[in-house]
Amino acid sequence: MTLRERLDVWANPILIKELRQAVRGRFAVSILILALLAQVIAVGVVLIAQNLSGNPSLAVMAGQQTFMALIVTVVTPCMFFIPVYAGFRMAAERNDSNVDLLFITTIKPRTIVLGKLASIFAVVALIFSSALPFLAFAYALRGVDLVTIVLAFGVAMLVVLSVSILALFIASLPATKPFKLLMGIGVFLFTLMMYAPMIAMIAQSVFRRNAFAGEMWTALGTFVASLLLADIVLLVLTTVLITPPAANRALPVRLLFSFMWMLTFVLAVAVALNTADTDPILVWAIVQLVLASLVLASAIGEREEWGPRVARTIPRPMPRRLLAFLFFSGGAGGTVWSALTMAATVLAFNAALLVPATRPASIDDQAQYLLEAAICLLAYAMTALLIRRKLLARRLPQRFTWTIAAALLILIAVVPPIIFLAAHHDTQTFNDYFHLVAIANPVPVPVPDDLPPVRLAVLMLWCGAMLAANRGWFAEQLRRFAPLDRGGEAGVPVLQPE
Amino acid sequence: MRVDVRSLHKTFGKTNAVDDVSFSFGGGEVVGFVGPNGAGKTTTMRILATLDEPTSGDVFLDGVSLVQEPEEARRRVGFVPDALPTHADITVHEYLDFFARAYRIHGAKRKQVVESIEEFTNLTGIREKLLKALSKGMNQRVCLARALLHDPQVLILDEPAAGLDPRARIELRELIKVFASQGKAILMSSHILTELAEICTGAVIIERGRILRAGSLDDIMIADPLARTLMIRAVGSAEALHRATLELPGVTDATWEDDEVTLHFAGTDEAAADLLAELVRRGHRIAEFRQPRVNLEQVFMNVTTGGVQ
Repeated sequence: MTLRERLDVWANPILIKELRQAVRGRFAVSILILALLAQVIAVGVVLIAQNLSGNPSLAVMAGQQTFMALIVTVVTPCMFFIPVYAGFRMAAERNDSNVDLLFITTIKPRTIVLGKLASIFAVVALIFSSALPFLAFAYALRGVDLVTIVLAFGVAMLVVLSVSILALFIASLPATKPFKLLMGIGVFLFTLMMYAPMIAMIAQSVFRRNAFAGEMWTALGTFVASLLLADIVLLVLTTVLITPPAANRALPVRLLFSFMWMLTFVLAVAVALNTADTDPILVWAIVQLVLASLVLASAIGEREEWGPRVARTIPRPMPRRLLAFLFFSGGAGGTVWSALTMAATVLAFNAALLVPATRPASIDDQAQYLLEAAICLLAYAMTALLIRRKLLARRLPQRFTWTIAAALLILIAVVPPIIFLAAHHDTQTFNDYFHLVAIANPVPVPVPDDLPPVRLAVLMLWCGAMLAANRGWFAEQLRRFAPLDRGGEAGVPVLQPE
Repeated sequence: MRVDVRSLHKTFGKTNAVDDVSFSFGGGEVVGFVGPNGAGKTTTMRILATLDEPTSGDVFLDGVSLVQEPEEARRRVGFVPDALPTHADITVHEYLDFFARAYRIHGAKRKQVVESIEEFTNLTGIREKLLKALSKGMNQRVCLARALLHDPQVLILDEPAAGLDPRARIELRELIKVFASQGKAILMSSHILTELAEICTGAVIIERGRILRAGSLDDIMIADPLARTLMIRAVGSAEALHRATLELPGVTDATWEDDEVTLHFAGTDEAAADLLAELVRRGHRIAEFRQPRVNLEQVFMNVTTGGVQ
């Protein structure tokens, strides 16, 4: 097989289609011309301004100023227009008829997302490459080295791609257009937030000699690593969102979150050891609890039985089947996965604190707060599940179970403390009883030292009761979680046991 | 190629969109899938196209299970949905080339396949036109071309003639006849029953997710054999014949005009023969005795109630 033939086999069909559309469409051409015009004007203005000023010290900085003018003029349209373009293109692909047609081919959701991403990369690279002649000119003016140029454009590319990935994710959400528009405004604000620090970081590296050294490398490394992690999560979530509902959509999410849990834990411990500060581990634990509770909110509304296409992939050996139960789409499995992740987070937090030399006095409180928050969130989810199953089974679609949990959280955890606060603030009653009013709030409320710590006991009792009340739901799903019986009568597959 | 749909069920919440649907058809056959809006046609077709999963039951394409081997089944099915593609800034040729790539047709073979499909579906002259610049008929033709790229043996066409002008409809009809002559098994839904009757060899009538009638077009056209309409032409006035028929067993209603009596008769072919013999025995002179052939529209109106779920 020749190289050309190999490339033909490997080429992502979506990438080729997107590039053809970009070339035919007006958008890519318009933005390219806009960027070129902006570059000509920017370089011209910088050079004329330097000439007119007559200040010889400015001439030394001519290369640097020209470079900054170039990068701003090239990156700005990319940052603000490319994500919008990417979002619209993704939304077009998500159009029912289009996405259906793709799924009856051999193309995979992953290929669609990666193809989109690759096409965005190609368009951005094309626009960046339009700056090459001007960059050569800026380099010739001296003051900017090649490493700075490559790193500056590398960071800019990463930021543009990250914002575009966010736009792809929002375009994939199964939401109404107004909601997506609202989210789009959020992305725009986020872009603004990313834009200023990025330009500042590049400017700092350009105008400071040996800028990419020492602490700058650390800052840059952290920035790049954080963006890459966020990008991976968003790409997996986008892929899951465009995967047909009949598929095992939870598997990649739970596998990724499990992997990220471990990776970020190791990183948090490493940073804590390096800085002799436990805060990174606390932040890690809080973030993990939030993520696990989001998975939990989604899990309580997930499917309770498995279609044949998922059932055919359920392993037959019991140990592997039990493991698969945690990672496959399914309400009970998702709930157990979330509960185990929360428990593991609290345990890991406690275990990690044994390592650092310094141990703040408040650390025991923090460990208890985390445990209480985990139990509290699980209790809300289990209560919502019970209410939906027993009282609202006919009225509320299963996938909206999370709304009951949210309503309960507002009614029990938020409203009473606010009323109490309004009625009794600055009084002894407030100090004595506020922790009781806020007992079911996942956010910890300090308990006066002279009062017994009843919160943990109450939460454990509540959560235990709800778990017991839902035990049949767990047991039934575990029983149903069985591989497809391929020997069904007349070749018609049946789920076993039914 | 044999398509066996077996005990297909699909529920959405508490709604039985498809309820125990079973039928089969083979290569070279064109089966019309007929039913009111919301009857479960599109859901069934989407299951056949592997886009949706049945709650229970299965479809076998020459023994390949759609449930257990959807990837394998996908290679054998071409699907034309009721909605047209909405890709912007892409030409007909690029669109077909894209789907050929998506079906993993590589290299020189892809070029050859795309060009031959373009020629076959008469798209060569418009291959460089943008999709958005095409008429609905031409777009539908592109959809058909796309569905043929991987040479599927089964074609599922959901309302392919909807919104087409008469010329485009005739062209589509001819194209479908060619597909059938190539041995492809075709299932197509349409609300234009007269047209379906012209190209279909069989039909499946569905309502509220349940099959009301299925079989060859001839079988379907002979409306319920136990509730048939008979026409008797007498020699001379039919008034006496009309009175006589009302006295005979199995006749539920009868009307007459000039020399013709039209009666509704509940009975088998043998009972109908007995009825004729009795009339002759009573001395009535019969010039013609026949069961008028009904058309698909009449059958459809007779068997469906117009109810939706």
